[in-house]
Amino acid sequence: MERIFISQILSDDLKSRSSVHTLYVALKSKYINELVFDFSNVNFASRSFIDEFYNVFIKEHRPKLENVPDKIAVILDAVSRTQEENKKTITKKSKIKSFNSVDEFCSYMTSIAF
Amino acid sequence: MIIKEEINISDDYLSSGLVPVVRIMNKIYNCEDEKVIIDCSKINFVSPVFVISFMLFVFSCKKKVSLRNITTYLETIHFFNAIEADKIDPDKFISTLRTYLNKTYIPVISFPALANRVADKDAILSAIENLLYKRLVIKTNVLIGLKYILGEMVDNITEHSESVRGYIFAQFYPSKGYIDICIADQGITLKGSFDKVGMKYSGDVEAMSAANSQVSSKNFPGSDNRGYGIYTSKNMLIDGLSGQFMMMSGTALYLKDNHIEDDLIELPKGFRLNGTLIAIRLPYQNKDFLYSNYVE
Repeated sequence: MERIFISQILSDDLKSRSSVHTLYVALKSKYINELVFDFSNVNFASRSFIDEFYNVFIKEHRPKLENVPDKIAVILDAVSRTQEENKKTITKKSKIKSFNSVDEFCSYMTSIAF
Repeated sequence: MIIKEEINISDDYLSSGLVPVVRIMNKIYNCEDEKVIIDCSKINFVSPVFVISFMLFVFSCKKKVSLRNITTYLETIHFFNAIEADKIDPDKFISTLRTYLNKTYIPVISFPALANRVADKDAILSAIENLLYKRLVIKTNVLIGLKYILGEMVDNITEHSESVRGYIFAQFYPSKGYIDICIADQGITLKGSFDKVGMKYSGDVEAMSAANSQVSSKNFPGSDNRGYGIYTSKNMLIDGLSGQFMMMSGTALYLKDNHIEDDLIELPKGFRLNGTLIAIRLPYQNKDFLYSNYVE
């Protein structure tokens, strides 16, 4: 099985959702289910990156993942859970505050100690 | 018209910089002149919320606003003159950042925000994070939390705003153990992003409420897994680090911390930001913080 070192193609710091597509384009002619994605030397991955990685690669092709650092495994696990669960959209309604003047707005902002 | 205000933003609160900006913008909106000069000679100490919201309100204003008497301090932080990080050599950018290692701020930096420039954007953000890491001397868990929160905020600009550029400015308060960071874009706003996919909200505040309730403009049937970024970042910041979160987009303002629960505010009549701004106050000395407790 061919081993793909993600840090060599992208970076050791995986931040952006759209960089998954850079990886996809780089692997275009390969059979993804026959690949091993190696996370060696990857220091960080954002939730957005992992979410996109899951949808583009894992969900469809189930490739092997190796050397996934614990801190990234936590995010991978969370992402895979949220694909299966129904999302809990928060439904509570907050009252909208509006003000009749700039002075009223400024006094409110000064009063809330934020 | 010339506006000359004495500005000394207190570091007591994250949003302290907003009131002076609103007062200055109110003078600009209400004067009869089409050209306004801001005399900066009395602007002494500013905050990320002041600097970035002022910049965005001025960019959104139909009048011609210019600055004069910019002080050395304002020049050093690159007030209204952001460092365009991708337009200088990467090594030069990193060496420029190194000159801020003994300062209590990083200057206003502008970065490319469109999806075709993510590699540049990510490299710039990584350089900024490395500076913060070295400057603040923070624990790995807090660093990962900071990277997680910043990463989501910046990637949302790319994913939703259609803005060509993004802006970041940060100020540290070492004796108090927290950092204020402000990130913004000049994009289509939250409501504009929802409108584009047919998710109609009656106003900016309603769109702000939705964005802060895990609704994403990129949730489609069968792929309802978006919208976790802001939500988990807020949990990490507020529940995990006792920080504060502020967001402004169009005519809407949103505030949240451990004392203020989802405060949705309509900006005063006539005020509008053509873009989206997020500001956070992040206490970075929590030894017990575990980012993994807040990832979902």
